[in-house]
Amino acid sequence: MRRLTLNELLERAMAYEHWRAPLDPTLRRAALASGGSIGLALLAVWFLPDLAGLADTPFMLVLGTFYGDMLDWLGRHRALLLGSIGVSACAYLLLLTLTGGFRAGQPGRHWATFGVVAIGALNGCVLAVMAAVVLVNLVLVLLLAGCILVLLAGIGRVLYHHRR
Amino acid sequence: MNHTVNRRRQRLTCSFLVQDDQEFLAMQLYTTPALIKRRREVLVRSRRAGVDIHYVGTMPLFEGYRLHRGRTVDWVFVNGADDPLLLARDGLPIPLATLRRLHRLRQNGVAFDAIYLAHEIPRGALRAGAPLTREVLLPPPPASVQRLSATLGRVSGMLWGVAMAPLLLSGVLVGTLVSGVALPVVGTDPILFGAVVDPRRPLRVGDPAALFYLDHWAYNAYEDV
Repeated sequence: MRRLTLNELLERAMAYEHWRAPLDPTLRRAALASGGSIGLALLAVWFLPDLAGLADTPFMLVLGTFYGDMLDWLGRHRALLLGSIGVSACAYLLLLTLTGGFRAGQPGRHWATFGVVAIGALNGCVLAVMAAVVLVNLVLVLLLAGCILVLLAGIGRVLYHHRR
Repeated sequence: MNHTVNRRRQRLTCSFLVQDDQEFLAMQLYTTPALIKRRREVLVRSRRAGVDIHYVGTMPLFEGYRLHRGRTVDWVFVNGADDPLLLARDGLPIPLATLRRLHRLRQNGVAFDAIYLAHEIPRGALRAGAPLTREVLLPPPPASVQRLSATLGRVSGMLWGVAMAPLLLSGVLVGTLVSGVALPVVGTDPILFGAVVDPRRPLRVGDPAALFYLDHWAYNAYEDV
């Protein structure tokens, strides 16, 4: 006959106070966003030499030196960054599996998810700074191009009227 | 006051589970002197351990589960070896206070031949004869962990807000992702039983066993422990 003894019950039982609970929706969203930022950071560090070339181009109207220094610092620590972001990515995938897609877990896994979120936010911050500098320059280049176009159109119009 | 009412309710439930069953009543006739002796030994040892357990009745050993229909809730009376919560990776969640009681019983040499559990489930949640699944018995998640998760969620939101500040300042909006999914919550308030049989006989389905109430708990009552 199948049976369960008191010893077996105590082996298989788990303290209810430490039992799994669903992850807070904000924590889950932040964890999923962190996955994206860790992945992007891995790509950014991998293609760092290509990005570094951008700092020397005329495209960088403002903050070019800051951008160059930042990429230079990142480039000097590229191996370390690749290693740490790689480890973070592995930890992220493991936690993703253990929590069933960041849906539920024991208290320790809620803390681990928060750790992943902190790493993701740090990566996101660096990426956001880089993206913001590029974006500001892009807007400036577009504005400048617009001004040049308006100026050329104005000159063209003056020349046209002058010729008539 | 609430505790007394709760205890009385659990005693009534134990009676309902065992004494309403004609097969269980008939079993009283098969109680042997050796089983009565063993029953007394268990009670003496548990008293020595300082754990209050009580004899509920004699029942035939069974495998699988029995479904008892109630007026407001149903009860699933299940052999511990077939309890889907105990078979699952997460195990059966038992409050620490009850775990301590069970450890005290074990340390004082109180041994049961089999463990049975009675799970309270909403009326009609399980059809008679349908397979007993983990989802039917799943308890609500502990409130303390949910509070921790909510706090970590708030801090995570702030962290991401700070991280995205440079982009937000440069006018880029960050969208949100998919929403969270809650765990299904169905089962509540289990009662734990220990069964002992005549020590001279091998354990067989249908043999009489003395059933002891070991403990019960309401998951909601333990959420703030």
